[in-house]
Amino acid sequence: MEQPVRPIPADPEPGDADVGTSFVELYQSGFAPMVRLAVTLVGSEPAAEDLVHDAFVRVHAHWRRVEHPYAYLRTAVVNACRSAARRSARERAALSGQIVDVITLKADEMFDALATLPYRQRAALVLQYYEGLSHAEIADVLGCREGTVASLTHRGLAHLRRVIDR
Amino acid sequence: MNDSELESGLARSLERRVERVSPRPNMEQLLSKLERRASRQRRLLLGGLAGALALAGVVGYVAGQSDAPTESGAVVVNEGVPGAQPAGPAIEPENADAATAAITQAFHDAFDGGTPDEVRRAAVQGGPMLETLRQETLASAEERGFTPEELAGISVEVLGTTFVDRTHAVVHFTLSIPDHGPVLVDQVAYGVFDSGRWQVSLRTACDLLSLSGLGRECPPRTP
Repeated sequence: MEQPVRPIPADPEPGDADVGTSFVELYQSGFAPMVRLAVTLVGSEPAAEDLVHDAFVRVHAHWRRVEHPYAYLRTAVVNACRSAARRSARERAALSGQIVDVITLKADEMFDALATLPYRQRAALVLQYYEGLSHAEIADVLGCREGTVASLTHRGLAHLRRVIDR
Repeated sequence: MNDSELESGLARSLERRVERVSPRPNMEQLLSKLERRASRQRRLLLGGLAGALALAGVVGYVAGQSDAPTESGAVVVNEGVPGAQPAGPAIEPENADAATAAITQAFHDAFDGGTPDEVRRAAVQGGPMLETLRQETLASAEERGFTPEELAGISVEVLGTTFVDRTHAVVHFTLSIPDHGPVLVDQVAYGVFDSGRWQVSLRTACDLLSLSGLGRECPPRTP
């Protein structure tokens, strides 16, 4: 006879929900933090929720082979946001500036400046300064070497400084 | 602005951006996306099989035209067909067959017309609290011309079950009424392992019972 799922914290620290977690447990505990992460990467909350659901579908498809579900989920979210950023860039190019870019809103100069960065630089900064990941962990998420992460964050911070000091 | 100020400013900005973001898991939206993916996989499988059968026909025709007789008439239809493997349930209970049977039984207990009330309530997640809504739905159905005999003859057919994880499953079913035939065809619903047994999910039962437009608030959305 199957056992009901065990209760889990509503909002765990990254890595808490891991080996032994059921898919629904991961969904219940990981949805909110992953949406917040996605919001830092794409800006829009509805888009972030949709992308996180897409990431969960991807995790579900590979569940049996996933050793660390939370880390896999985070990588899936970052990848989904990258695809969305690419689509968004193509759409902006197609519209030839007919839509208002987020950088003109000036609600939060730092966040707006972050939104102007190339995606990998933005993701590296978010993973370091929001998620608190090490360069080695960021390298795993982005699928690159640690040296590349150091370069991405250095260039990203330099760009932010130029925008802020302008 | 020095490096430290820049870094702490960035961290504060990110925290500020999400401090009011408090999304709630929407299991139905997730299940809907999982179901759409499963449907795509099924179409891919059918397409792959159709392609393989067509290819096998061509190969068989060519082989039949050649001078060299083949050793066997058997044709392996799925060999070398990309994507022809069914996705299958990514996660399922240890005894999936028993769970599938239990889910099917729960749907029969919940929706077949002749089920005793106690059995019906036990087959539905939160069943006792839906009893009033069920009685009102039946009364509404009678007002719209269905006879008590017809309603007592309602039958459900479970068409397929796909597990989402050890305790949740997507269920396709068709509901029929005597003399009216299938009234709900290939509907998507959810089964849930709760209170030590597989049950029809609260949301599924609530949605079906509300189809008559009674418009009552259902309990919180949880499959």
